[in-house]
Amino acid sequence: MALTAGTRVGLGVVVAAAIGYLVLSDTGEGVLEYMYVDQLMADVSKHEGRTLKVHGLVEAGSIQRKRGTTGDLKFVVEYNGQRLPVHYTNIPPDTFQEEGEVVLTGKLVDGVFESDEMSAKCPSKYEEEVGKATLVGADPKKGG
Amino acid sequence: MLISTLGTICVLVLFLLSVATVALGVVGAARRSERLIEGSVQGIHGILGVAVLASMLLEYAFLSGDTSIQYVHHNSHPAMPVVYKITAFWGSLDGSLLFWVLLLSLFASLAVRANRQRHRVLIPHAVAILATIIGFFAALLVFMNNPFEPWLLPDMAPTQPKGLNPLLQNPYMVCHPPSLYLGMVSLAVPYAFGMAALITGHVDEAWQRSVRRWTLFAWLFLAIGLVLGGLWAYEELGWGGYWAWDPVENAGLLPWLTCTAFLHSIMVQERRGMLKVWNLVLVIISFFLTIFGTFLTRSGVVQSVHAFGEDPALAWTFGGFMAVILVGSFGLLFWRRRLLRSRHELESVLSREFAFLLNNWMFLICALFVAGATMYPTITQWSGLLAEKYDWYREVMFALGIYDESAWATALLEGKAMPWSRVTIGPAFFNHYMTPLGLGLLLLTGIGPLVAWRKTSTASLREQFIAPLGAGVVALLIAAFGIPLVRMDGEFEVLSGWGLTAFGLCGFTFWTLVQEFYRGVAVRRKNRPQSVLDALIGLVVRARRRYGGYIVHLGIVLMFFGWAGNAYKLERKLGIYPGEIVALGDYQIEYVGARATQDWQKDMITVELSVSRDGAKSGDLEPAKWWYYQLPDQPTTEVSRLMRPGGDVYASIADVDMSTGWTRLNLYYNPLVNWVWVGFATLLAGGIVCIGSKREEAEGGG
Amino acid sequence: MVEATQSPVVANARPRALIAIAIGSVALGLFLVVVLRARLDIATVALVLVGLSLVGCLRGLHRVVGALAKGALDTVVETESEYGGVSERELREERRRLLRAINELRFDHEMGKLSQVDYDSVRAGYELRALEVMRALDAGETLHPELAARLAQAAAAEAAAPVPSDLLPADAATSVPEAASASRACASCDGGNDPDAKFCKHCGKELAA
Repeated sequence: MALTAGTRVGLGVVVAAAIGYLVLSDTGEGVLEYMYVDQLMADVSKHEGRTLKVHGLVEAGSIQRKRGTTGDLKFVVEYNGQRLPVHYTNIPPDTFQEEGEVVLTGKLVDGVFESDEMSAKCPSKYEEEVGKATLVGADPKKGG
Repeated sequence: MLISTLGTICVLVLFLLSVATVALGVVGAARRSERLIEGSVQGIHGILGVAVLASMLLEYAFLSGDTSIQYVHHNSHPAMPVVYKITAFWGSLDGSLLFWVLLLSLFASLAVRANRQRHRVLIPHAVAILATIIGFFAALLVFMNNPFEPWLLPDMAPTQPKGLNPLLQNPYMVCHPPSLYLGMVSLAVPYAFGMAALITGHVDEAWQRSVRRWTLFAWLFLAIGLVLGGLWAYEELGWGGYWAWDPVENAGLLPWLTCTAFLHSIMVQERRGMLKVWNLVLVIISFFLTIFGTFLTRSGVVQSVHAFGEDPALAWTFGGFMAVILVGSFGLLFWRRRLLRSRHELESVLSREFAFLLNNWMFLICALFVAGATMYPTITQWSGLLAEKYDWYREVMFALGIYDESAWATALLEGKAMPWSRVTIGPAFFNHYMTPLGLGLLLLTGIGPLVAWRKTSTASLREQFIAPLGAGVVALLIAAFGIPLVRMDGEFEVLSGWGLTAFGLCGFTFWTLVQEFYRGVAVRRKNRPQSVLDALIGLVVRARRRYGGYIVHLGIVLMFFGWAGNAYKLERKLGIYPGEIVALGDYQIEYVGARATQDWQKDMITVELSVSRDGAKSGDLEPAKWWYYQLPDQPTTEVSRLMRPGGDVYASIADVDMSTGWTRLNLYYNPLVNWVWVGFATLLAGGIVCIGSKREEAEGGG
Repeated sequence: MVEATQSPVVANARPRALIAIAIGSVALGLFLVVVLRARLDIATVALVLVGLSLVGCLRGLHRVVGALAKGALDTVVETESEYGGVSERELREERRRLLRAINELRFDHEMGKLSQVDYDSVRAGYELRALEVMRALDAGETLHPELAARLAQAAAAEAAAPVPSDLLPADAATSVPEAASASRACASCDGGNDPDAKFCKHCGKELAA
């Protein structure tokens, strides 16, 4: 089968069809918006109900743990003066603490951010490759 | 202080010598002066000497615990085992740059020594290019990140050195980064010789011959580094997987993809004098991607758990270097384009040339996709920042409809944060596109051996296709009907489309390889009577590149087989009390008890689980959590696995309450995962067979 | 292609260098432990290595200066002129490539990837081209370096002991002088060929294996 113009067109069609199929069948679950608390609070109605990632600092004194379980807590994250209440329904990573930086994945529901996935950075630790420790508890499979 | 001063002098000499070597090489080539060229060659060897001295000084500082050097102070602790003191050399940014210089100068020296007589014309230019790259990294060491920087707190009592995170104190830390470095750094050699070929105009395949083994070496060590990294994540981090499409992981994958394409593509140039431009493009891109990978991990440009941390100055410097590489290399290519015309035309679609061309395209597309998706979040962030700062950019974005003008205006008015957000791209996105691409490559791996050079007769193609096609269909049917029989809990999608396709293609490609070996042995035995084993060994030895390559392909098939199992994973996260039994697929896992122990370094809590299947005991799992005294706030999670050919039962502890024994476990069942490691071992064996081959061998194998 | 062989001087230098390194490191180690009272631990070993690398480094630097100080050796670097035209090296490249292609073609045919018809036609194309290339190489009247070396050896041997005449080629029409060792006669046309030839350079037929 020689490489004629017809063959080229045929190949082109196959490639285009493959790309088209892949793009159209993409559910978009892998792509999440990522913003700081102040950016989220700037337009709450726009983001209501959408799964996204929020980055902020845990407000000192705001952590409340539900009695009898380690996997349910409420706290507040803040950034640049904006505050967001959070309801976290999972076990937090070992580096979770007050005034620590956290990135939460979840949805804004009635003014409270419902989340079950967190990655936390320890403020006083030195960096370089040590970030691995913060992932214990979070699930990188879901893009943590 | 002595070490610090000596070391800094060393690094300075390194930089100056590199500059001198570049000058000698360039001028020597221009004037055709043997004296200057010899000077540049000795310069490369001299650079190695200085680099070794600098590295030894730093190692001495680590081993003697000389905390007057900042780098040693931050990365070492007197109580650390010796092995980790040695490996702390490359554990952090500054040292890793010196390590890069050491490796590159070693490879440059070896490459020059090997090719000095054989490719005299190319040498001065190759030397100049290699010295330029070394010079860049040396400049970084001198001006920005000196590993011998003194730790200037002379009046205070020496503070407790910080030491290395215990998470990093494991054997993988010894093997994984060096392996990746070996792979990445060695790609500079083919690049240098390729550029030398362009500069001198000797663009026939002599330059490839001089670097064939280097390319194989680079490819092999990149593969080792990638798989070791995955294995490390799987065994140590406890999230049940081994690859998360993290930007730093991708950074290592990118050059491997283009390097694989390059390895295949040079075969076409060897045989038929075609794809010359492709080969040069691939070698340029492969080298560029190694620098790009270094840039990604060190600049803080991408968000990653592995990244070294933010360093804008470094980001700009690397960015500039990368721009120079791209402009310079492609400029050279454009200048010499007339010399790179193919000798022959593509005659038939059913030819190995076409298969390799397709191969090139698919690997390139994979690499572009992964690179694009890795950088996309950062691009969205840069876009947002640019829009905040520059009016003209904002206008353009509004015009393109990417940003909403009214929303920005409102935010500005109300004094709120600007309405742009960065995006993160998770593994689901990557898997959605990479799975079909990967399976397409698997298909090509099967078809490739079936077609001959120039063209294949349709009749013979059909005849060769039948058996593998049949094997593929059989494999698919076994998977489609066999899996539901094996797994009875209905927690997964039985007919996972991609999973079944993967099994089918594995069967197809596997049979192609079996066929190649079988027929090869038959041909050999026809030509001279001998036993099957002799024929097999003779076949592999005689046509080492071809059959070594087939062994590598066999490894790939096994790895795909292991990956196909991913479609059928099971995961359970739950809290249980001692005595309770949990079902995971076919297994029953009983929580026997928890115990607390300690040793000189840490407190440990270990949870004992008993795993059985259909009443018969399969084994025990002992996941644990450790609290190192050195770092009481960061417990480490110790994973426990039950490894079987059919899959792993994998457990890690999320939380444990010692008063009641209640524990929250993460349980995973990973089918077929061990075939990934077996496949990798096969790939390694095949790679070693290939490296061992001499190019002048008769390729017929008959 | 002539591979650079190691001169005897270099070959002797290796073991000497190793001995020197061994003695030097032991001496340095002893000096550190005995004179400076260093402890015999890994740090001392590292210090010895530092000492060795210092020597190596200085030697390397000295070599650089030495290379530059030497007077100009031969200023001509390239022996081949054009890159645009088809140089002799490229012709040899192509011949080697063609021979390998024919070999591989035969193997593929035996494996069943090519029909007889296709095999014959593709092979004929290769053989024709191979013939052209070999003619071009011969016409250039340049000898393969190995052949030239062998000839020189043969001439020297012949001066010492005359070679029996029946080993010399009968066909005087060949333009390339044959080596004194046995040459291969083609079965079809009786022309002389190089000992390692696979195809007759006069008629193009395949030589008996």
